[in-house]
Amino acid sequence: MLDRAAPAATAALATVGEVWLFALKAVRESVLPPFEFRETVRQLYELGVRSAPLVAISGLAVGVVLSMHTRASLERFGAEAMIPAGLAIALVRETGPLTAALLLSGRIGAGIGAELGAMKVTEQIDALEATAVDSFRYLVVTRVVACVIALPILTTIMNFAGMIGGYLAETAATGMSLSLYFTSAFTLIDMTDYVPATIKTMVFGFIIATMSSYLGFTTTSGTEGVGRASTRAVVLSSMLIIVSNVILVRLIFFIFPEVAG
Amino acid sequence: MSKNRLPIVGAFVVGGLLLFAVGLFLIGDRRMLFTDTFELYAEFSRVSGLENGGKVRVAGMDAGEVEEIHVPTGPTGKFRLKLRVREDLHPLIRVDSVASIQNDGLVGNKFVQVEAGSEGSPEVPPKGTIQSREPFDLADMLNKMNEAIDLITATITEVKGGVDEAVSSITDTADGAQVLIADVGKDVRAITESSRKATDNLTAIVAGVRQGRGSVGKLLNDDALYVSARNIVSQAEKAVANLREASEQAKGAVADFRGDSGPMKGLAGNLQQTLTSAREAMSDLAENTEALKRSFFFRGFFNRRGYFDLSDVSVQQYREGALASGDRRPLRIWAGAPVLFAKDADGQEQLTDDGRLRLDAAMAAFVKYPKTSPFVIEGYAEADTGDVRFLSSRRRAELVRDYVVGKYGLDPDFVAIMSMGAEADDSPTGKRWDGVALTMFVPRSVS
Repeated sequence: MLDRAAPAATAALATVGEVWLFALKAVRESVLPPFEFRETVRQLYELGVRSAPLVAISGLAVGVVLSMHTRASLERFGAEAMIPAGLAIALVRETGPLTAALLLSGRIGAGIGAELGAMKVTEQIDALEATAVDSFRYLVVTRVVACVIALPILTTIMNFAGMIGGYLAETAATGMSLSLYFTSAFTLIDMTDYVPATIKTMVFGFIIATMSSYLGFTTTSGTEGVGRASTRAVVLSSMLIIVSNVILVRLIFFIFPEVAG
Repeated sequence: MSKNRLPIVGAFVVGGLLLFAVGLFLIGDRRMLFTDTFELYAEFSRVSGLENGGKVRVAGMDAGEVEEIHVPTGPTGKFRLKLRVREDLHPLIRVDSVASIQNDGLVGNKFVQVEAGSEGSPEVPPKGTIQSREPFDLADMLNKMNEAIDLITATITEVKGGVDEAVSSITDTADGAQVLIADVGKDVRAITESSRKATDNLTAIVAGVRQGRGSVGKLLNDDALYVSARNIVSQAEKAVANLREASEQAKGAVADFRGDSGPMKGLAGNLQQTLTSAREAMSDLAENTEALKRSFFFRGFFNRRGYFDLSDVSVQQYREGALASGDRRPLRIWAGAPVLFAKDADGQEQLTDDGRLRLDAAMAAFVKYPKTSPFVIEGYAEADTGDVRFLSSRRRAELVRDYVVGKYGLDPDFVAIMSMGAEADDSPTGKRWDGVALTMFVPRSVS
């Protein structure tokens, strides 16, 4: 058994190293010219703008559900007045960034993995290389940059959509006004809650784009491989987002101790 | 890529950044990053879980936050809280404002409540320190409740012990009473037996008496004794009747002696007639004498002899020497009011101890003259109006008269008072006098 596990572990470690090098290359290429501005904008449109409705609608629904759950919990303590603040801080600190990242890992990760995998198996990437186009810079770096830019924006949309959803649920229950709701919502939120939690989604974007691009770039076995690359892109991106979130939260607590309370 | 995607992507990025900025602004606004604030300090022995960034409320309104908590250097020191408070609420915070740490609801965070000060107090200066009230701690209350419960439990245990002891005592008492009743029962039975025997004996004695046995039996049953007793009573009744008859005869003899035909009646009637005649003669003599005293021809004689009525002499006549004519001359001694009188609590003048001594000294000069010499107490008083002068001077003269008559046994018929007012021609102070003058009209023959 050890004889079979050792090569598998070795292969897994080799994959991790390969992904790590792929990610480092993406970072290095993204800050060094020449920049594929037009393609980056196109990717920003495809990955960001077209994801906005999904994120906004999801955020709205999440806000409504969170509000209902928060009300059920706080009502027992007679602390209904804390609902806006409790919901807002939950959204801003964790629910918004993580939900947005997981949603986008599904939509974007699957898209990138499938698109690049298809290009790989149909040798379009080789064709780009043959025409002296840096396929990595053109296909990967543009997506990584677009994701890193889009994720914080989409997370902010997610947060506000969630608060609006919470407001809709709250006003339906108690008739609370919009101004009072938002005044109450921001009573507990501090800069250290809002900014680091939003900035960390850039890491999530980087993880989604890098992981999905890597899996697409390394797709083999024809169309079957494309499907597997797409699925693995979603699974691995989501898993890495959740795991990295633990590290990032710990890091935020280390840098901003007051966030830990 | 079509060109119309660029604006959309731009709007997406700019919109996202703007939304993020709105979030920053809302948080900054809540944290008063864009509001004028001032610093304030408050000190507490304990902070009860309050943390940096905790809310500050002024009169219940969100007004700022706790910026810093300075830890004391020693156990007796206090935590010094640096508060950042909105400048527009500064007028509410006065030097007598009080800060306290409170809980925002049951599950809320701790916050600092600053009560608005009083209108008369000045505003607390920036970086000033306001008074503080130590926070109420739920744990302290629970500790006190625990202590109270322990105390109640101890008390109940103690009371229970007392009750057990009392029940035990009652049981012992009941047992003792039962034993006592059992013991007494024998004695009661013995007493009852003795009583029954005594009753039997008494019955036998009564039966013997009825049968005439013994002294008592003979007394009750022998008729000879009864007859003798009746004879004695009859003789006693006769003796009393004789005594009553003798008494009636004596009463009749006395009545005859005192009756109209008796010798006593004539003697008593004559004596009574004589006394009545004498009384009438004396009355006529008094009237005649009064008439003579007022008669033009005899008045001078009576006056010279001293037979006059002082009550008929007016002040004017007195001043003109009505009493000094003939063989009498006035002997006058002056006494001032400040020595003689003092006002009491009711404002009435009364004789003082010094005044009595002064009068005693004056009277020493009169005692050698006959008590039938007319003696006049002249009252003098200084006052604004005549009626007050009259009343006050008469009051003074009366006080002095009562004193000298009572003490020296003078005949009231020869003592008179005169309300002289304030004028006194020959007084020691000149034309006026405030006080009294004791004047005796003494025989010229006596020096």
